[in-house]
Amino acid sequence: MTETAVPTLTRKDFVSDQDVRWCPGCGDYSILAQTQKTMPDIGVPKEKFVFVAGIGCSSRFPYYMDTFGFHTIHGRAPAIASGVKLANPDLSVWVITGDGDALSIGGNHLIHLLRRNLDINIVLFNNEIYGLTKGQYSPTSEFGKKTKSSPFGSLDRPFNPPSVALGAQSTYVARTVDSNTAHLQASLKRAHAHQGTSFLEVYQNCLIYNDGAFSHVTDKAVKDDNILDLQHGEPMVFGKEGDKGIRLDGFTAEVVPLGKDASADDLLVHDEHDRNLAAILANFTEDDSLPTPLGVIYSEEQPKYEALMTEQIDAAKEKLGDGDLQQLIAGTDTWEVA
Amino acid sequence: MTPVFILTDAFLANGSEPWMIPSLDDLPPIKFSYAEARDGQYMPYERDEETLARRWAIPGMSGLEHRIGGLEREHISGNVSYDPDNHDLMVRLRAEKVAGMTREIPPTEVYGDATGDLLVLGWGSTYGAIRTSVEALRSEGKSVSHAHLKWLNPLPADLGEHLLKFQKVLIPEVIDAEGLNLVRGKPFRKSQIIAKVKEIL
Repeated sequence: MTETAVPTLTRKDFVSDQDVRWCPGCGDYSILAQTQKTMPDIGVPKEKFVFVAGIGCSSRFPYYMDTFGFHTIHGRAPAIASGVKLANPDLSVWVITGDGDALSIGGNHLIHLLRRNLDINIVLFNNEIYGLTKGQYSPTSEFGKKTKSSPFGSLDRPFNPPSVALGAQSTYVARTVDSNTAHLQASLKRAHAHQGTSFLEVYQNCLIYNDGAFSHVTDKAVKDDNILDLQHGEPMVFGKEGDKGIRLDGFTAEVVPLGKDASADDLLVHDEHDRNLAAILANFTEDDSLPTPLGVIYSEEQPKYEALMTEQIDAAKEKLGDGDLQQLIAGTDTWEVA
Repeated sequence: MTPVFILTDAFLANGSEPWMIPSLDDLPPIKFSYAEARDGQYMPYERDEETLARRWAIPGMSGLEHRIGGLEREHISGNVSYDPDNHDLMVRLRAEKVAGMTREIPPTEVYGDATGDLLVLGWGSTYGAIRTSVEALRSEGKSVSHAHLKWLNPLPADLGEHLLKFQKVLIPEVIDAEGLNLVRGKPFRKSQIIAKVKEIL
């Protein structure tokens, strides 16, 4: 038996020859670079990758990857990606989307992909603003945000993407940040490894229209006091000196200083398979007194839609034999007029 | 690789008439060809000289990785292009490709005489009402014929010459437009078409 040589892929194999058209300094550059660095390592042949995007700044992404790519319809990437995956379950399918594309225009498509649990990876670039259309408030913009379309402040309460995903029965919810390249790379790998729909929120800085939206988790001076780096099975410790922890009082999380009043034993231990805990962690986003959770908020194993579909078709064939299209069209209630 | 819209209406869903189900074996096979890379290069926007169709390159085919989407593409290479002259060329190529579909459209069939006073031209679910009206009018000796369209864009290439063989053309449609039109949300009755034809003739 001869061994088939699997060509070793490098970052270069994933770089298309197209000019990247994002604004200088956009967080999208980092996400693109980390994706191009990560994809060679996940053991998928290059031709099996498909990047599907909707509309928006983030959705230009497929043009810059030298893989199969679809820049599709606003909000509809999940629908198209579902078709691509079901037609050929062997493909590694990635949905690239933004906060507007995923949560406003495509909110409906997103939640149904999440609950169906196809093995598709969703990467949501959240910059909390509409960038391509030049700075209107988005479904993740904070309440009261003044933008071109909300000069006196937005009256919309924002979506918290991990909460939306959990509410939609997502089997994998994680969060990372554009400028934390190591964390971003690890997050992409982990998302790919999840068997089912993975939902990865990436905090992404829009330098032009919403600069500094995530400085609390990117600014070196303060980020360690604001990030809760989730590690499965580990107590929730954070802070520059590792001197703070998260304790649960009833269903309410609170920050406690480690020392005489609390030790690591008193702290909440992260269990990424606990859906209730995941809901509590997702809600941290809305509470300024709590750090921002990064990493895997939730993961569970559930059957993949495409596997169930194949099983169902096979079982039906076994019971009823191969389908006959002519018979299907004719049905049981047709006859020939003499 | 041209999007095809099949239009239908509520009458088709709610009405009933005998209809011969075609044998699938008798339908012509749908032919297409997969793309190939040449010298390690694949040009996703190369087109068939006759049909202007691009070839198939589906995800999973090694060496044919490419991107499609809503931004304008450069002819041949398929790269995103903001060049105005290229845009002009591509708009014309797409229009030409659609217009070229007339090659596939069979000649228009005219029921009744090929020339005459009036042609009733229809499309879709008005077929039954028009045909029975024209049959009745013809049995009264009226010079009326019927042609029914299956394709609206592009229209059959021979449609114009057929229309010119009649003094007048009547298009009954359940819309607010010229011709015979009623917007009652109900299909035409035979009597309504016959009345209109008699008014014209």
